[in-house]
Amino acid sequence: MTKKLTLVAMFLGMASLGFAQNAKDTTSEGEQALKQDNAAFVFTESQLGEDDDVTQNVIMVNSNNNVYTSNVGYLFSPARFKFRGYNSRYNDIYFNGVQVNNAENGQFNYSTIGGMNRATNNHIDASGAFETNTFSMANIGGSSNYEFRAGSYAAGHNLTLSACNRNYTARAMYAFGTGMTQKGWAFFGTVGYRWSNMNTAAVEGTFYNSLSYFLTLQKVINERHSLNLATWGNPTERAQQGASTDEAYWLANDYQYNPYWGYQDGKKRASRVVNNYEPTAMLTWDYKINDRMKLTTSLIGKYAMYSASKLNYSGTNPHPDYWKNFPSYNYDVWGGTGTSAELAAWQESYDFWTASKHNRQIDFDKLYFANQQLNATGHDAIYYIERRHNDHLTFNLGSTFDWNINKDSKFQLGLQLGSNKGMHYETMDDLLGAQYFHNRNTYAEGNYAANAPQIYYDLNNKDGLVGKGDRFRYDYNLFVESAKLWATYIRDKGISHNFITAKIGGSGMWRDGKMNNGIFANYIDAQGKSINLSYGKSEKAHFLDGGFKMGTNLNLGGGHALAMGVGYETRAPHANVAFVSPEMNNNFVRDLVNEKIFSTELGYAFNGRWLQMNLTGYFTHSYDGTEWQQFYNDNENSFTYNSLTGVEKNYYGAELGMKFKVTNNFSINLIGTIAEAKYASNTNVTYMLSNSGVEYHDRCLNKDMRESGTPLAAASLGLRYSINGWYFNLNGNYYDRIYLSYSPNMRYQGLMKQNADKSYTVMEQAKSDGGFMLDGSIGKGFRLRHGRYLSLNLMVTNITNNRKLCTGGYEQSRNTTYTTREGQDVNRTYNFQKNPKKFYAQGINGMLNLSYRF
Amino acid sequence: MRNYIKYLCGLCLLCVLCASCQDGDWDAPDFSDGAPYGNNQLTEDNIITIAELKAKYPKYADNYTTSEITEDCKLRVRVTGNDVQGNLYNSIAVQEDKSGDALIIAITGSDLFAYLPVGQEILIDLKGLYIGGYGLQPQIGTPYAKDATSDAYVSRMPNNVWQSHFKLLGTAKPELVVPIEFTSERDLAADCGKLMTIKNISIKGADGTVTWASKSDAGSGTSVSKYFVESPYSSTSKYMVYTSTYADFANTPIPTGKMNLTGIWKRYNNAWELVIRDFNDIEVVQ
Repeated sequence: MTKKLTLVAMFLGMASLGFAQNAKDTTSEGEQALKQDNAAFVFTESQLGEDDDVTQNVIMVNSNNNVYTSNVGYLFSPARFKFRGYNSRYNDIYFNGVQVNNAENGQFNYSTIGGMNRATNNHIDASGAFETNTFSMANIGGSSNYEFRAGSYAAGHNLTLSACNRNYTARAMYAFGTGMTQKGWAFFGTVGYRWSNMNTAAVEGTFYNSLSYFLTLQKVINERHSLNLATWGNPTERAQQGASTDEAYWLANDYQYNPYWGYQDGKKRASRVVNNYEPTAMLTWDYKINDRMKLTTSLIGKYAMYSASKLNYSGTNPHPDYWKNFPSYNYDVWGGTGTSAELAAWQESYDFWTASKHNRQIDFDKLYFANQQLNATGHDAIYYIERRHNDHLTFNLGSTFDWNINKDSKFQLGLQLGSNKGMHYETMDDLLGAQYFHNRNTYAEGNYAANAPQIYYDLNNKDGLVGKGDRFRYDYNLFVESAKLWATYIRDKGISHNFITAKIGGSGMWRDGKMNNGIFANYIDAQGKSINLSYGKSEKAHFLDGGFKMGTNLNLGGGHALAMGVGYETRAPHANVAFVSPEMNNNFVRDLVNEKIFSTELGYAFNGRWLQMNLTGYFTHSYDGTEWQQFYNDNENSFTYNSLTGVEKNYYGAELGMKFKVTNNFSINLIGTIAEAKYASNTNVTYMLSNSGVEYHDRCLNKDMRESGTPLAAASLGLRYSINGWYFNLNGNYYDRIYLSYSPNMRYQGLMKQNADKSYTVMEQAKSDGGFMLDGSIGKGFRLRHGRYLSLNLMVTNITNNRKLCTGGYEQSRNTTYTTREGQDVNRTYNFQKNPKKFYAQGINGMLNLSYRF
Repeated sequence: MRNYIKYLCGLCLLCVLCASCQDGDWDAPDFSDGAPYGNNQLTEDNIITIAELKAKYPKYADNYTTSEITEDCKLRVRVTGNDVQGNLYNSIAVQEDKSGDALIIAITGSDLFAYLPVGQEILIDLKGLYIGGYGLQPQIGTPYAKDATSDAYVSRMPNNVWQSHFKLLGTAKPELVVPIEFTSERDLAADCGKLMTIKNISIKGADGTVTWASKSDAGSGTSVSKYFVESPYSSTSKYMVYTSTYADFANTPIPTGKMNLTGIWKRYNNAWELVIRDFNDIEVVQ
């Protein structure tokens, strides 16, 4: 009995591993693990999706059945590749069958499982849009389930030490697992630490400080029931890098120039520091009902504490790359026209920039001095470090009923429930030498009479003094509750493997304002009644959504297969796009409806002795989507909250993956994609200015604007060779059609001049030139006595040191020439349209790993 | 198993100890060696007065005339007006303590009030700067021309240039800045740029709702002029209150009745323009 129990427990614990293994994969153990390591690491910044101005979240696609998808995430990560150009909200992530995407924005933050490589490597069951899995109806960008049961981890110890010249400099990880013991217990734990400081990090002015832990304990109660409890977290403190203009990079002679740091009393200080800690606990119950049926239920609870600091000001922008600080502010460098005095001023500015690094970074001493002077003369501080908080209390439940009806058919039924409370507020992080500061809307001052209620952020604490740690500017909660039911039926018949899957769900959301913003304290609603639109609860918005997919895979024999699928679904808008200005009021976006998505895919696969190949074509059309963004609108001298509704997009392209097994030791990989991901039509826009609360309705002429921050065309040629435990990889990657994030307010129809033929000349979207990158790795594994294993690996990315590859960025939100609402023509020497803010790929960088398993 | 869990916990603790904050509390910098603004290498020699400067450069107020100051000479003056509420934009007004003579210094940059508060004494190294008139208002700055074919005039100097041409002297003493009274006897040429108060004056059209400079009043411009009721200041071609639509008090209603208005009285050709600095310059007479 005990022996049987052990076998069953081992099966339960190890079963999921079977999905992650590819029997035909000949990559050595060390190399595979390190592929995951490298991808996870290089993703670090871009995974987070936290940069204010750039949507950089990527999707970790790793479906092992497909040569293309099993390699693309790892190979193209240096260019921040986004699978099919999709936003990461189209990729679902599950842990032990419960969905863990952020309830407010639909994205998954990979940094929350960063540093736990031993827990996550080879523990993913990933499926593409039209592949079946055991936990969901897959999203259009695919779905992945991480297996965190203790029994699924191999027994033993593992110690990894790494050194690199990337976001972090050093890494140490230790993992220990018991495997499933005879008594039905299993334990696995890992702890890790990643570190760099401002002198060692690859980008000057950044640092990385992250501790990770993961603990999981499983008890197989009997042959039917098993319980697993897991907990993890990674308290992290890191400094961010900012994008800048080509002029700044040229003046600094450094494509990694970072404007987000400076000097204080001779020491380096970062202006943007992220603190993030999301302790999570998950309880999983596996119930084997009988030999054909099982029920898997997981309950997860998490308290996320995320905050990011930012140097803010109520006067002139103190950042060194403020446009008026540049030489080209003084002289028209694009037209080549100007007076001798302007040229002299250009030279003066150029000399200042190039004279000293100190001149190119934030001067914190000046900010302190100014604040002290201001306080001494009875004025508020005008420079300060604020901290924006996005905390979440989350509970999710996922339950899946799996029934193997017979050898040819299978049925799955699943339920996902979620409850999320998002707490959003701003605190004063550092007054930079000042003693006092008042909670006042300085952007609105000047638009209203002195002491008018509109200039106060919180009438419940009018003109309140703000000290370190105090909340100011905004404070509100967003609540989201959701429920989803899905079902899949799989039927094999002859040469075909077929499936149909459907889902139906509902969600509700509302806001609860904790500050009484003066601009909305006496808001006149549609009925002409005066209400407080800022403080207190909003109405509740409810949505019903659902969809279906069906697909078939035909095994044509001789290694040939055809796969096709089609799907249609509606999706409720996420809470982060549902409110016009959640920092200020309770209003929902006008015309807030479900997004509709039609998707289809046709693929051919060949699996032969020496060739493995996948060729896929796809098309996705979405409409009635909603997007939202907030930015400082320089034309209006105000923060602007931008809602785009009626968003219609097309995504289509072709993907190729080929693996030639030339010999047992040598193989050649060819991966490539040509894609399109763009707006199919112009959209409606509603934007609100924070200094007045006035809403404007307009059309945004953004048709044909493309998804940004990812190469829409990419190709890779890879060589792999292994011998006597050594392995060598060399990959040449080419990236092209990388577009920068477009600025909607540059395309508001109401503010543009019409041509004689009534058309409008819409600014072309800023674009990167693309480029080539060569990556390689070399490593060896040593089998030692008593089953021990030592591996050494060196990975080098961008061997040719191509530092001119722009990986993303954004257009500036200010016009060079325009007419104000009051009819005033403005012409500037500085050309904003030719100066988008950009990020560039790091030059040659590498990672050395030493891993010891015992 | 228990031992291994102990090792894991121990390692966790070790990592926590190693993972000390890299962005903790910061001490304020020490400014005993000099302020981080301006040029602390400047020395107080070759000081001249504003009157002497004007004598050396007779075209100091001419429009579209820029005279480069080529000699090694410096001014020692005190700030009487700045951009604290956005009205006196891209410039400061300065006066000598002894003579009361005044000048406008034109500087590219906002928030000059942050390090040039009213009452702050400064040393200005004039060599390499220019003096000339804008609307016959003398100012120090650098030349600017609209295009290659237009005449240049003295306008705001780049901030980098300004930073190398001044030095802060001590701390601000606002109590030393006392406005003199403005009357119709004041001389446009001699007194323009000074801090002065006009007493017992009211504004035409002030009805409790009209504001100092609404955008609707400004139309396609960025400033609004208001005029006085009482003679002899009621001449609209000679006396006005100039307010920028970007001033913090631009949308504050003008008090009805009489006021004492203080500010920098600039010259625009043959007219006086009162530029109010902030709310405190508007005193309602009870």
